[in-house]
Amino acid sequence: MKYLVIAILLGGCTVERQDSTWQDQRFDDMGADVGLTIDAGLGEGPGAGTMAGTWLMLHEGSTCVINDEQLTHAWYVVEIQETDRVMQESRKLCRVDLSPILGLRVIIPEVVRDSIEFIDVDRGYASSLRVGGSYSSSTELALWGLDLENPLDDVLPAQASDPRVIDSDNDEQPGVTFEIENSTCRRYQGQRQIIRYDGVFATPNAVEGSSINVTDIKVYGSTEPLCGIAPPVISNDAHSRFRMVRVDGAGGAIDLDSNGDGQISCEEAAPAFDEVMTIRSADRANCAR
Amino acid sequence: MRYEPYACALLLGVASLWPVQASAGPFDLYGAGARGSAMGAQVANATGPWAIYYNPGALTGADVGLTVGGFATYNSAQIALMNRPAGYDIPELDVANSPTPTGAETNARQDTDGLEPIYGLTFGGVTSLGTKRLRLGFIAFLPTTELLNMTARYNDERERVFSNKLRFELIDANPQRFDAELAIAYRLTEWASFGIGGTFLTGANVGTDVYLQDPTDQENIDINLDVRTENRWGLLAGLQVLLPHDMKLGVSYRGPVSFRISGENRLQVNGVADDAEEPRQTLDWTPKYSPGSLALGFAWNVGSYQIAADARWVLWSDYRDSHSQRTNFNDVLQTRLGLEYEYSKEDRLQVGLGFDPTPIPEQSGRTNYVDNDRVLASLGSSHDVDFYGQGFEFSWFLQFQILLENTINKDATIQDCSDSATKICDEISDSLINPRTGQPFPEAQGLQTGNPGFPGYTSGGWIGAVGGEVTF
Repeated sequence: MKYLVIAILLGGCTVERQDSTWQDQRFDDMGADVGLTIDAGLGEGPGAGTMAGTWLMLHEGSTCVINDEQLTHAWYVVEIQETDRVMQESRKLCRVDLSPILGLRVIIPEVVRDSIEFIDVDRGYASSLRVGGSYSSSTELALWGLDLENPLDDVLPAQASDPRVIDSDNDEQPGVTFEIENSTCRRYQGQRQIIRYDGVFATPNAVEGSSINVTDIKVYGSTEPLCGIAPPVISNDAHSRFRMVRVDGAGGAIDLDSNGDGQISCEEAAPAFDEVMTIRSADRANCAR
Repeated sequence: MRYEPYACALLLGVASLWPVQASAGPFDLYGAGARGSAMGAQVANATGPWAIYYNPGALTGADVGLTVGGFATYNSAQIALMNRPAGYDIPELDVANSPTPTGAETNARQDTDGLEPIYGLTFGGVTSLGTKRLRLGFIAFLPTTELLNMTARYNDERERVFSNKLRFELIDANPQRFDAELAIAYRLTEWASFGIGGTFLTGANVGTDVYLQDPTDQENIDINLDVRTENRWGLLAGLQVLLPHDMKLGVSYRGPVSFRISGENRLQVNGVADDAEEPRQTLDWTPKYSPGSLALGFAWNVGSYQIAADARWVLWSDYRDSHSQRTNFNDVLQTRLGLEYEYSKEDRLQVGLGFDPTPIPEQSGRTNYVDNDRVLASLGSSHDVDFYGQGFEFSWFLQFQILLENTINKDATIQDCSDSATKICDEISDSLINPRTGQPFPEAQGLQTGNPGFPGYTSGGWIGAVGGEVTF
């Protein structure tokens, strides 16, 4: 009898898995990831015989931060004036997305983006406008929250009280204010960004290539201590690239001037953002020591 | 073949009408001493040093001497998780700070199969200090495997990135600890005795000072430790009254006692602005907790038999979980029924029955505190032996506790996750915007949860203990 009881105890009271009353959950197609489409292919067309006009550029800049790759995707509308193959370029930064580092993504508010001062330093040039021809941009020099006498050469101010640190986004904090996504954390900093683009004409209306990036950062404060950490940003140019396409309708290119005012704004260019170039995700392997 | 839990209980013959005890420390769960573990009901009729646990007032009836014993537990306690329906997993989103996607956890979601067994030695001692009416005694449980097993677990979706499983809240890690109690008792009159004492646990204030020289190299940090232990005592008090016709009455109180670890980490990070305040991380765990209780016991000697019954009101409503969070546990009434049969002058047989209601309410919401009603049955005997003129008492016991099967289905009412959420909660807000499209994520609509207890689970099985002791 006792063996029967023990056997029942050992084997008879086993817990069995029960079935759930919850039903499978299915998602309605919200059409969110389809993106906006344009009819004509970007970069197509026989070419206008000049680079003068309006171009849309996507730059995928790679840097290494804390041994992880941080990608900066920046969309610009570039106005080019050409004289004898030498070009004066003026850039308007329309959108910039940064990939997260250690799960923290820096958000650049619109007011900061609009406050960036691009400084005209030199000129770009193109050897040939035919397929395979070379393009070298003018230097993109941008100061964020800083006003330097020699923008290329001056050492960044060390203290927020330095008069060269300016509240360019008008939030009563020094420099520009970066946000941390899904956080109340804010970082106040000044930044100098120097970029040069070199590429070749993949088509007469599209230039593809790489970039050289130099970024200097100085943090002037933060709402939380950990937000104030500014680890070194190391250029990773081997994994940086760009693509620039004509969008003013010249030379058979697409015309994004939807309101016909002769100017292409960031809003008018936005529907084509996803078509400029297939972007990639950050890959830690690109920053392996 | 599967038996319904009540069938198991009937087969064991341990059905009881009255609730008995939910448990925390080793004595709370399995009883103190071989006779106590075998009979269960001891508040009015405890003998030897083990009266300290049940009713310090009864210590005046203890013979002077020492008791040494051994103790082991065994079990087949299980938690079987229901299979997750499709569409509720945490998706991988290109948004910072979004939860770890399902499948990327350190541990896969898994059932719980068994508790860590406990092996230990028991000690007890009683002295009269040369007086007739006074008794001073102590009891102790010393685990031989791990002196103190302390683990903290989250009881909601946060546990997914840690063990990713559920655990029995009150019978798993809680009983695995050193236990020491002492008391002094005095016979006030020929029919009344009073005793008072304490049950002991340690606590600790823990702090660390951390310096991070290079934020990019978080494997190399400098840490200083500051630990200060403290003694925590729980009050024990009891009264034993001898009634006419060989009847006894006992009343006792046991104060709550817990092992709490608190403190903070102070973090210095190189590169942070000089005027920035150091980040501080608060530490607060309560890995061990024994609730307070108030007990009433009755015993009656009828010929060669002694019948005993206990009722204990256990104050689980003050319970703090391992993260020191208050819970909504219920106070419960536990009862036990015991019988001792003296079948010869030197030999006694004991049996006991009981039923322990769980203090934990239905876990259909966010939390997964797992516990079961328990049916107890126990058996033991004591034998007096004369060895070279020295009297010895040998006792043993065998105890089973059936965990009545309990199935939890999570309620369909959901909330967004926040500190105050009590329902099963959505870890990704439906309004979260995809920064690339400017639209909400389709896969974030509805409920996404990694709660290991979702959509439900079933717990049950059995636990038991066996032990013996010698008193001289």
